[in-house]
Amino acid sequence: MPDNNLLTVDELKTYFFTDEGVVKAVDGLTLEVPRGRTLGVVGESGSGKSVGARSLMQLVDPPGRIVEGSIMLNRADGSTVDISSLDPRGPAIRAIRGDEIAMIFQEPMSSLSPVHTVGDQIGEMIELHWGYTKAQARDRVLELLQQVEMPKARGVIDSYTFELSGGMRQRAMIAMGLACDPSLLIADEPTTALDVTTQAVILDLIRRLQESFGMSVLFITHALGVIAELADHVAVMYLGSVVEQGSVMDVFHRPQHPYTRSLLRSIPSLGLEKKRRLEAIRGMVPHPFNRPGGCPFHNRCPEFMPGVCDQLVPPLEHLDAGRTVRCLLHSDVDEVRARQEEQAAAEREAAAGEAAAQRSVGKRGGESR
Amino acid sequence: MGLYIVRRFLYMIPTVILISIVAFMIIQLPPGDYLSTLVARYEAEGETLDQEYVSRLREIYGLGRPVHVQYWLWIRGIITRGDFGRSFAWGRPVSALIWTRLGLTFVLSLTTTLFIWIVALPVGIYSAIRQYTVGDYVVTTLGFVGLATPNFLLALIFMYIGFSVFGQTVGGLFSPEFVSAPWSIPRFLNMLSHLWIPVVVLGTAGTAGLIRHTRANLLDELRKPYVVTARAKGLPEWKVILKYPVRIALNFFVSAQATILVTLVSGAAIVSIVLSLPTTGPLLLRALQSQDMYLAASFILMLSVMNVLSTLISDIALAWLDPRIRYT
Ligand SMILES: Nc1ncnc2c1ncn2[C@@H]1O[C@H](COP(=O)(O)OP(=O)(O)O)[C@@H](O)[C@H]1O
Ligand code: SF4
Ligand SMILES: [Mg+2]
Repeated sequence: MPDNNLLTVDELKTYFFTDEGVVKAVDGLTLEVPRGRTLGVVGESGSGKSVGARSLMQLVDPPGRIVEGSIMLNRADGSTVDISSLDPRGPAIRAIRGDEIAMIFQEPMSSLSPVHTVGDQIGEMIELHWGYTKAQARDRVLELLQQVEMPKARGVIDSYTFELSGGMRQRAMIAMGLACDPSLLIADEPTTALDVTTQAVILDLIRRLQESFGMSVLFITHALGVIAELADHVAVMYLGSVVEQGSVMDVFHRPQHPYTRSLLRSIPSLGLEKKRRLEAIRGMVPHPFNRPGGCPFHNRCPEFMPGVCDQLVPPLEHLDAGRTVRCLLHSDVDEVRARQEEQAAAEREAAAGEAAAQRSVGKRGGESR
Repeated sequence: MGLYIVRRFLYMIPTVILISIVAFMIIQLPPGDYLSTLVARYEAEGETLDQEYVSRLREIYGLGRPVHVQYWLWIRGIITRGDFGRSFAWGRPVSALIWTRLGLTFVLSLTTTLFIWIVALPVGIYSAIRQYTVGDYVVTTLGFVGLATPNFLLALIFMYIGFSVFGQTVGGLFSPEFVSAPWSIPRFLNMLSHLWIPVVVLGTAGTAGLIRHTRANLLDELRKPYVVTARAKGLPEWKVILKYPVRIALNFFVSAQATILVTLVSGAAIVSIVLSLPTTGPLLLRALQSQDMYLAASFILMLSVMNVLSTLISDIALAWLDPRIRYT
C-alpha cells in the first residue's frame, strides 16, 4: 500500500535515565509527516520538541534513549524502515542521517565548527553520501550556497563561521541540510537565535526551498504565528506528547483540545510579532519529573473534569478530516475507564506473578547453596 | 598568516633585549662580586690575598666599571663576536662552556616534550571519550599519582630500576667509556639508552597534567552542539570525534605548550643534579653561587631565548590551527 506519509511516528517514548530520576522528555509521541509537505510542531519550551526531533535521527545523547514506539520511514521505492529499532551508532542510521533526513539546528554559531570552513563542513556530507570527489563536492556546495541566496557565495565557501553574520550562518546551516537532497528536513527553531527582520527572511527562504526541492519539512517552533506562515499541517505538543494534530486551517479555526484553544487565545493576532506568545496560559509547565497523572494538562486545563481528567490518560482519538486529539472530552469516558482499569489489573497481576517467580527462584537458589 | 608570523617575530626582539638586561641585573643584585666572594673564601681558609693583586684583577675583568657599561660591553661582544665573556671560575671563555650543555638541555627538553605529547594526547582523548569507565578511572588515578610524586623521588626509583634491571651505570648521560669520547653514532646511541630515565622522570608530572588538561577540555568540547551537527551528517563516530572536538581541543593542547619548556628547564635542574646530567642546571647553580657573573648571565640569557622561541613556535602553531587567531 503506497503510504502518502513519509514518516509515521507511533507512541514514541524517549526517556533520560539521570541520577535524579527518569525524565520522560518524550512520552507517547504520535506524528505523521506527509510527503512533500510541511508539518509544524508547536509547543512551549520544555515540551520535548527537540528531544523528539533528535529521536527521529537516533541522535539522543546518553543517558537518554528511545524506550518504546516506532518511527517508520517510508521510502519512495516502497521500502520501509523502523528507525527506532536501529543501532544509534550503526551504519544503517548513519546512511539515513544527512542523506535521507537532515536537520537544521537552532544556534547556527555553536552548531557549526569554528575552525573548519563553510565549504569543508558542507562538502564532507556530499563526499560521504554521494561519493563525490572534493572538487565535485565543492561545485555542489557553491550551487547550494547560491540556492540559499548566500551573499558572495564564492567568498563564503572558504570562510569561517565567525566571519559571517547570523543570517548568513543560518543560510550555511540550511545549505548543509539540503546538501544531499534529503526527503525530510527537520528544522528545530531555526530562527529563534536571529533578529526579527532576519527571521522573516529565513522563514520565507525555507518556504521557497521546500517548494523547489519538494521535500518534507518538520518545522519546530514555539510560535503559533510561524506555523500559520509556512506549515500545511500542525502538531501541538504538550509535555512530551502530541495533544492535537491536523491541517493548519482546520486546527486554527476549529481547535479541539483545550490546550490548543488556550494557545490560540494567547496570541492577539497571527503574524510575526509574537512577543506575547504562550505566557498567557494559566500556571506553569510542570517539570517532567513530576508529570501529573491522568491527562498531563489537567492542572492547567480550563475544562478540567474532576475524577476523570486526573485519573484517566486520554487516548488518541481520530476525528474527521484526518485530525487526531488527546482529550477526554472527545473520548467515551466509561469505555476508557473500563479499558484502563482492566489494563492496570493485568499489570498488577503480571507484576505479582513476576514477584512470585522471583521468590521461587530465590528459594531454589537458596536450596542449591 | 605570513604577516602574523613577521609581527610575532618582531615582538620578540624587545622581549629578548629586556630579558638580557634583567638577566644581567639579577646577577649584579647580590652584594659583592666574584672577587669579593673569592677573597671571602680565602679568608675563611685563613689565607689572605694581596690587595694589590685583587684590584689588578678587578681592573682586568672590568668589574670596577658602572653596571650599564659592563652590560654594554658584554652584549656588544655577544652580538658582534659571539663572545659571552670569560668565566672567572673556569678561566675559560663562556662560549666554550655553555654550548654543549645548552645543546644537551635542548635535546633533553625536546625529547621530554615529545614523550609528553605522545603519551598525553591519546590517553587524554581515550579518558574523555570513555568518561567514567574503568579505563578512565585507572588513567585518572595514575595521573594523580604522577602529579603528586616529587621528581627527585622518581629519579631515584628509576635509577634503581636502571641499575638493577638493565645493569646501567647510574647517573650521567653516557657510559664511562663514552664520557669523554668524541661524538659518534655509538656514543649517540649510548646517550639515547641513558636518556629515557631523565625523560620519564621529567615527563611524568607534565604528562599527568596534560592528560587531565586534554581530558577536561575534550569533555567540554564533546558537549558542544557542533558535535551533534557532525553526527547528524552521518559521519562515523571516530571521524566525528577526531575531526571536530579533538581538533578543537588541540588548540588548548598547543597553547598549554607555551609554558611547558619553562617548567621543564627549571624542573630539569634538580633532576640533573640528582642524575648528574651534564645539562645547564648544575653548572648554572654553581655559577650563581660563586657569582661567576658572565657564565650565569649567559646561561640565563640563552635559556630565556629558548623559552621565548618555544613560545613563538607554539603561538605560530596555534595561529595555524585556529583561524580565529590567524584573522585578527
Ligand atoms: N540530556 C538531558 N538530560 C536530562 N533531561 C533532558 C536532557 N535533554 C533534555 N531533557 C529534558 O527533556 C525535556 C524536553 O526538552 P526539549 O526537547 O529540549 O524541549 P523543547 O525543545 O520543546 O524546548 C526538558 O524537560 C529537558 O529538561
Ligand atoms: S482531558 Fe481533561 S484535563 Fe485534559 S485537556 Fe481534556 S478536558 Fe482538559
Ligand atoms: Mg528545543
